[in-house]
Amino acid sequence: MSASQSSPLEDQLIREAKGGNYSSFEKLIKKYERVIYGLAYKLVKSHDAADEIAQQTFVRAFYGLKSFHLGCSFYSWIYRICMNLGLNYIKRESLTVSEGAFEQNKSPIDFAVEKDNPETELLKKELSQKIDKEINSLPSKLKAVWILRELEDQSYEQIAQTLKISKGTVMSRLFRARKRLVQNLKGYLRGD
Amino acid sequence: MRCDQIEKLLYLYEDGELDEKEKREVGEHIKICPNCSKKLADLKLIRAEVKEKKVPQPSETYWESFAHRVKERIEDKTKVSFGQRFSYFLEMIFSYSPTKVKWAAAVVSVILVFVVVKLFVSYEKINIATLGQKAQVQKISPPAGETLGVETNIPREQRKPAIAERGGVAPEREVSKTIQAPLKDMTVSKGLESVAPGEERGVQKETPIADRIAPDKGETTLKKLPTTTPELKEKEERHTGVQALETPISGTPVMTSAESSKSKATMAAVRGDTVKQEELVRESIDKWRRFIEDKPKGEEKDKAYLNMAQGYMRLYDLARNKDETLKEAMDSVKVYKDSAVTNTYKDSINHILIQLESFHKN
Repeated sequence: MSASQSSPLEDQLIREAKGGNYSSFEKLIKKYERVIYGLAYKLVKSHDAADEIAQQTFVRAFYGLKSFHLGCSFYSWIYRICMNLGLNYIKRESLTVSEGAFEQNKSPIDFAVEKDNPETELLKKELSQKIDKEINSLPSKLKAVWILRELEDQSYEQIAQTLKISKGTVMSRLFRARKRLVQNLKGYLRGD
Repeated sequence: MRCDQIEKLLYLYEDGELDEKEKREVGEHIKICPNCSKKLADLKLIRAEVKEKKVPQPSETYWESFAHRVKERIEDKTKVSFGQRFSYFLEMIFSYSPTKVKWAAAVVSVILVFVVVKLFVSYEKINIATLGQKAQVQKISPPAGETLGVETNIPREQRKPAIAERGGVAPEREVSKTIQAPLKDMTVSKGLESVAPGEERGVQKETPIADRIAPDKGETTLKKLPTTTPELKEKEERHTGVQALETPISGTPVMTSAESSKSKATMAAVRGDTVKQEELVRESIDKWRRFIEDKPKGEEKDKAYLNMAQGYMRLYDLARNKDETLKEAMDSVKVYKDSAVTNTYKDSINHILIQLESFHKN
């Protein structure tokens, strides 16, 4: 999903939504709901919380549409809203995410969860939990950059645009986040 | 390059963000440095682990109803109140705005805090000054037993014996000084006198105390008191160590003893009748109020406001129900302060208000 400018069709939808046309806004929701939910889930690791954040993102976007400048990237905009909501949620809840957290918060909705090989699952689970724990213990600024780079595969420029920071700041934060993770996970990764 | 230098480039190398020269240097370094190559391997492992995790996808039913649920929340005004929308707005500004805006907001906040603190400090200074002046007035008051029962700083119970000692009549000098006490620090424009509306300013009759009640108006007036006689001036200087002012500061004369002594309450004070005093002060305030209702113009109106404010000060001093009177006084004086146009009068009324507020705090 590109973080650059909106397409002419998208601009048209935004213009109509700004004018109060909800069906146009609904089309925008349909276009971005999965990516927004995905980001929210990566941040909070809970379906219920991710659902809440994703909905809130679009509610806020709707109310904030009047201040949105046509020609800017709608995707980057709602992405930032979602990112901030997610990080605020983590701060507020002091969330310690683990695999178990997801299991506990699993909704009645059916999930298409891919299962690992049972033989390796236990070891992987331990490492996975440790990684999650370390990622979640990162300061929110570092965590935001880490998630955008490693989970969302955004380029440095895209991250800079999404978070409205300079490319240099992105590089610096990413370096600090990675250094910290490698340092803290040393024993687990090398089997020391 | 050393390892610490390489480390900074290591992750950029992995991300393909280095130029050819740097890329070559890092590539050569990790071939010969097991420590750096392990760091890189660790990062790759973490990445692989994280990427391997799939985000569980909710069912299609969930997605079919998602937009509808968002719509419901948007339409449900109660869920998003004005307050919430305002908080969204603030959050949008502070969360998503560029650093410059954040800095600007921070600077404005600091300035606001500074202004508030400065206002608070100056307000406190005025209070301290007021208290200091009150203390000074206490110092120059004659020794206990020589004061008249209307002095503000002496409890009412102690006042009556003092009056009784002199058979209900005090020397005029003391009467004027004690009445002056709570108003000592007030400054009013030159020529302003605390007289009831309709009285001629500055004209005082030398009449015996018993005859000083004006029968036609039901008002009391005292003859002008000798506030600046050499003996009194010397006495005051001895008490305070401060040279007494012979003439008021230009434009902001202190309310003189003579002026204060003209009030009707003074006469009642001479009689030792505080209840009567209170009634008289109230009457006087009402009279000024009626005077204002006749819509006087310009400075006359402001003078009337100041006289009413002074009246309330006296009323508080005499009142039996201090709390209620103080509240009434503060409410009224606030209005006068806001209504006054001339700065000098406004300041003087404000001064009275500050004093009343300090009583309220105490």
